[in-house]
Parts: sequence; C-alpha cells; structure tokens
Amino acid sequence: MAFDTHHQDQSGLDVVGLRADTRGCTEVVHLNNAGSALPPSIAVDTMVEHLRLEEMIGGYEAHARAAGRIDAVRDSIGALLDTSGSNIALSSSATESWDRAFSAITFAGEFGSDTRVLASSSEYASNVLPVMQLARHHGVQLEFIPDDENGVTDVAALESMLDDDVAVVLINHCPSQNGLINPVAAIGHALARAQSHAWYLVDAC
Amino acid sequence: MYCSPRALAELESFPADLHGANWNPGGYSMRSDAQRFESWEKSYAALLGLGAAVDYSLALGMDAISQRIDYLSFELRRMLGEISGVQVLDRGIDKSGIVTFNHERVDAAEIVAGLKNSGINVSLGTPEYSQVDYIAHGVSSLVRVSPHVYNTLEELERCTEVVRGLTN
Repeated sequence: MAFDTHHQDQSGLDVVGLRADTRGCTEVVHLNNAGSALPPSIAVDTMVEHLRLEEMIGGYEAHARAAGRIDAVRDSIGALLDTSGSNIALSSSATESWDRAFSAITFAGEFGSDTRVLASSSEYASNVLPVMQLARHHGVQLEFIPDDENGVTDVAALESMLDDDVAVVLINHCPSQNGLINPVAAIGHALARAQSHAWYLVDAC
Repeated sequence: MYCSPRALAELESFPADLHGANWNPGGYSMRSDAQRFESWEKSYAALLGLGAAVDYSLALGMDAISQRIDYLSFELRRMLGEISGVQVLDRGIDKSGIVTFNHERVDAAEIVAGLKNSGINVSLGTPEYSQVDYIAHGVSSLVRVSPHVYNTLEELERCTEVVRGLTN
C-alpha cells in the first residue's frame, strides 16, 4: 500500500529563500501560477539586462553577443525534458509552438473528409478551433475521446477508435479546468502498440 | 517545443522562414534540427529570461518542485472542500497543481472578484475555454486556484477564509 506523503512537505525546498528570490511575493498572494507564475528576479533581471544591451549597442549586436547563451536555452529545456537541445524549438508562446506543429502536420498530409482527428474531452479551445476550421472548410472529422471512470482520457477507448484515417491525436497534459493529469505516456505507448501513423500532439501548457 | 525524431524526419515547417530553412541557388533545404520550426524574428530578451527561469527550476530540482506543489494543492483541496456549499471539481487519481471549485449558490466570478479585492490572485474558468468538458460535467463556471513552490500554508488559509466569507 502506498504511503500517503501529501500531508507533509517533503520537498526539502527553502521556502523563505524562494520567496526572497521572487520579488512579487511581498506584493500579492499569487495563487494564479498555472500559465503565469511570479517570475524569479533572475528571469526578470536577465530580460531587462538584454533589453538594455539592445538599447545601447543595437539588436543584431546584442544578439551576436548573446548567441551562445541563446543556444544554451535549448540545452537547458532539453535537460528539463530529458532530451537534446537539438530537439527543442523556441517560440514566443505555447500556442505559437502548437500552431507551428499543427500547420506542419496539415501541410504534410491531405486533410479531407476521410481524415479523422481525435481530441481529449478536456482539450483547449485554441487547439480545437483550428480542427473545427478544417472540419467546416475541408470536411475533416473531429471526434472527442471519452473519459474513463476516473475522469481522465480513456486509453482503451482511444485504442478502439484508432484506424488508418486517424491523422492526429490531440491531448492536453494538465487541463486548466479540472485538476487532472492525462496519461500522456500510456497514450503514446498505445499509439505505438497500434502501429498508428497518427501524429501525437501533446499540449503540456 | 519538443520535436520527436519522426517529426524532424518527416515534417517541414510551414510557412518556413530563413531561420528554419535555407534558400540556396537550386531551391531550399530545411534545417536538420528542431530550429526548423523557429522564426528568426523573436524576442531574444524573453527567451533569455525563459532560459534563466528553466535553469532556476533545474537547480531546485523537478522532483522537489513537484512534491511541494502536490503538498500545497492537496492541502488546498482539503481546506476548500470543508467550506459549506463548495464543490471541488478536480478529477483523476493523479492530480496536478491546478485546483478548481465552484459554489452551489455564489457565482464563481463573484468569488474571483472578492479574492482579488483581498489581494489574492486566482482565475475564472468559463465554458468557452473547453466546451466539451464543461458541458459533460454540467459546470457553468469555476474558480481556478494554482499554487506554486513559493506559496505558503498561511496564504492558502487566507484564501480559504476569504472564500468562506464570500460564500457565507
């Protein structure tokens, strides 16, 4: 039986130090961190410092001076996700990244009335709307994967929905509106087991 | 954005720009790595700030961050759930750091505004963000509370007390 560790903070984090690192903690009680936490001072100072450099020496020149550090950002994100920096693309927002991936997928395939796109029932408006556009204008079929008895995406139901017409599977990892964690790894394994050629697009924001 | 080896083997970015692809005398070629999905014009200041934030997270450790957020969100669900008329809406066995609730009588928008007036930031959730899910669970609006590592139990208690006052 698993020991429930929730009742104690076993993180070992120095909360006083974390609050000292985050200037906004003295201003507000910020319980709106999903999507936009108070940034640590180091992040804001780094941004302001680069803007000052652009102001003083020019944008191209500031970029040239920071080029190595910009490449290092991809390596840092690679370390965070246990992958290589060469697998990481930088963009200005989560939606922009998602759009870049989705437009590449629709460009590669012929999306018409025999194309099926499967989405989690918790999927976000900004991810569903482009599929609804394809549905309205090109007849693409948008279908939602039901939830299981625990309220998360039902992996077995997804498996039963798969066929050669399924071109994309859309899953959001931690939906904004219901506190659950979707089984993104199990879904990836299910797609591999089924030898599906569908693109698997995970929104982890 | 993480791009799988298959994505790099099979997908072109579209529309490509001169960072993601190269215009050569005979045509064009895509970059071999994930930068093919990037464009040249971007806010480098913002990206350097993102890098600093990621390095800060790596120094703390993702396991420690995850444990602290689990702890705070578990406590928050428990505290909010004890308020009369409050329904915590979170599902699943493994839960994230997102805590959602509404009240049988008091509108979620009113609770969000009341918290804001007390210096507490939270979000209002409405169906246009995710129609299928809201409809399936009969939810018309909700309050989203999402703690982070620097939040304290005292802050969660303060939030809970304000919600109790607003719904009394």
